[in-house]
Amino acid sequence: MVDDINKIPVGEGPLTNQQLRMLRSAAGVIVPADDKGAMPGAAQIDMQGYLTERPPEELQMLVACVDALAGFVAGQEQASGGKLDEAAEKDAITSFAGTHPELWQLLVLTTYSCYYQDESVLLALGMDPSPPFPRGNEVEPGDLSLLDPVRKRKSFYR
Amino acid sequence: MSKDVVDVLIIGAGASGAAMAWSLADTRMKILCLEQGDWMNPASYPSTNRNWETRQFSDYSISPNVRGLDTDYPINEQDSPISVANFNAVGGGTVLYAAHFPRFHPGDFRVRSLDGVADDWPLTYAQLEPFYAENDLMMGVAGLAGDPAGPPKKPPLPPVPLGRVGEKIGKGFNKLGWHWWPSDSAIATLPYQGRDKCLNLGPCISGCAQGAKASTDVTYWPAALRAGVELRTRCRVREITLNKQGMADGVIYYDADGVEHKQRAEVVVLASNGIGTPRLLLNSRSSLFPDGLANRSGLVGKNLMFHPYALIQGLFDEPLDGYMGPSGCCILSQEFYETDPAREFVRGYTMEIVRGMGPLSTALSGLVSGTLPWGDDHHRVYSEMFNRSAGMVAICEDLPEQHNTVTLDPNLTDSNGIPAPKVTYRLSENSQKMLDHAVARGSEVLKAAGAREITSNAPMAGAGWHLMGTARMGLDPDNSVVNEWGRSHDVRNLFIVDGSIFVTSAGVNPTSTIQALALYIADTMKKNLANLFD
Repeated sequence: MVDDINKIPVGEGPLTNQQLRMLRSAAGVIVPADDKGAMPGAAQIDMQGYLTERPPEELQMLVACVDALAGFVAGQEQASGGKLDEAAEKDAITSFAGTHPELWQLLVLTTYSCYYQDESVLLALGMDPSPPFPRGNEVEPGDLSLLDPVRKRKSFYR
Repeated sequence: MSKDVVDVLIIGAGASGAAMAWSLADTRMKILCLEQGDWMNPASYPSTNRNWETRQFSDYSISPNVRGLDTDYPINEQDSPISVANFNAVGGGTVLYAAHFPRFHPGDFRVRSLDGVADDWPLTYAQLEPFYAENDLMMGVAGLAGDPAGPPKKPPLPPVPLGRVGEKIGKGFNKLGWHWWPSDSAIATLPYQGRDKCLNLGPCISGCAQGAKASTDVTYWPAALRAGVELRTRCRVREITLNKQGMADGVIYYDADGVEHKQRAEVVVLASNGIGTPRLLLNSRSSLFPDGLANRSGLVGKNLMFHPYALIQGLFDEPLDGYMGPSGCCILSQEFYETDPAREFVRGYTMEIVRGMGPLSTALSGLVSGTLPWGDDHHRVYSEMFNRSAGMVAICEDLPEQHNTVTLDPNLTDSNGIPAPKVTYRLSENSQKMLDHAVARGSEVLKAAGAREITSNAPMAGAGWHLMGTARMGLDPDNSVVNEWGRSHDVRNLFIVDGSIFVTSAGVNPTSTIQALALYIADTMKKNLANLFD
């Protein structure tokens, strides 16, 4: 996780610099940082790395979504006569969500898929971020005496 | 052409093929199994990596159409509300199953006699019981004796942990006075026969990196190989061939490089599941069998049964176990299993409690159900969902109907040019009423357990993981494909041992019964070796 998205290096990945910036802006609207600072915002996650693991067909659709969003925002900029500030860009993105629900759904899905596997998020949720194996987990065996009412029943199978 | 003739050729190295191979190995016959998939490497299962949740939706999806691996074949499911779940590998579907391992009830073999629908099986629970027990030992089944909902049995291992989820929902069942019991699970809850015990990893349905879940690559296959069975992987069978006498004499298959081979055999055993088996038979046409091999009854590919599933989930106010623990195995209820004439449907279902979800699955579940907003309220609502959800699936007995079929698609093929299967299925009125009842009762239990915001989904579209009925068993050759010990009525050295031979589906997971049947058929073959083709 980084504090300033502009400082996140853009390495080799499926999205161009511009596309990644647009995706991050959308991700920041989808999952903003919470106001208590307990949960990071999705814009702070290095999504490019996670995206390289997505299937090619899904990435193609994602690129199309991001380009559509960028085109929509550019249209808003043109209408307003200049570059949008952060609040205006957020409004434009929110407006896109309402007018392009299917494209927005993929952006939400992608954001969640990257966000909820990031170590910073898992730590913030109180989880151990390491893979389940070989760590394992403790699960309480449970109180089998809860079955006493069932044990009293006669067999009822045919 | 391969010059060697094997005594027994088994097609498919999954649940039934493995059990068959192991059992027949003590005859010292030359046994060969051909499997189109490969050996799995547990070190590469998703639970060994941080992206374990996302991989359930890509290369470890239960749907072959989503996975698209080179060991998969595509399936045309456009005419089915339920999608097929399968897996091609040594271990087959057991690599990805949840390892839920209940047995049929005795009455499940007598559906016609008891309830006036479907048919009776040509064998009884009593005949299968020794093989259920043998299979429980081979696979290592964890459970608890004394369940009043089923016949007596002695699971070799203690039950899987109830966890907070099991206790919470168990108390809900108690409030209503309904049956519940720890689920029979093919999971090593203690070290067992060289396998270490379950670590409660969570993503069981993406393969068990610990080896505690009983897939047949870690149970039957090591023993079968030690006993001399040969297993060839990446061998995709295209068709079964016949000699001039109308007996099966082998198969034609493609190896990993796409090179065609002929393998000759004295006996052929199909163990390719309720989709793969009819597909192979239908693709094995000849002048003797223009409608597909062993299909004089016309029933190959017909009577396809899934188990229509309902998913009912709720949110609780206190933290539960999340994704931890054997994901699909916890407790179950058979309160509504047996037919009750007061209800609007015949037969019944099992409610199987499922544990919670990981962080990503929680978010995606909320996205799909529309209950998790994006934006400013995301974190607040998410915190009320994460590690606080639990629920159940209801497995509904599916009745055999001839219009539910597996046929060969006229256009779609696999990578070797073999016609893909096409599934045509519609949900019956009986199934729909059963699902409605299950959703209502499931909601009732979750409320009794303290859940709020209950959601449901029925039938679950992706839940076609039980594939049954498409080469059914029976005494009458006009009404069945194989006889009471799995031998084709039409081709006496051809046997079928997978879920295709099911006459009815019961309201429970089929793997325990599939394997018990495979062991029973193998045992019967061994007892009749001298006159196997009479």
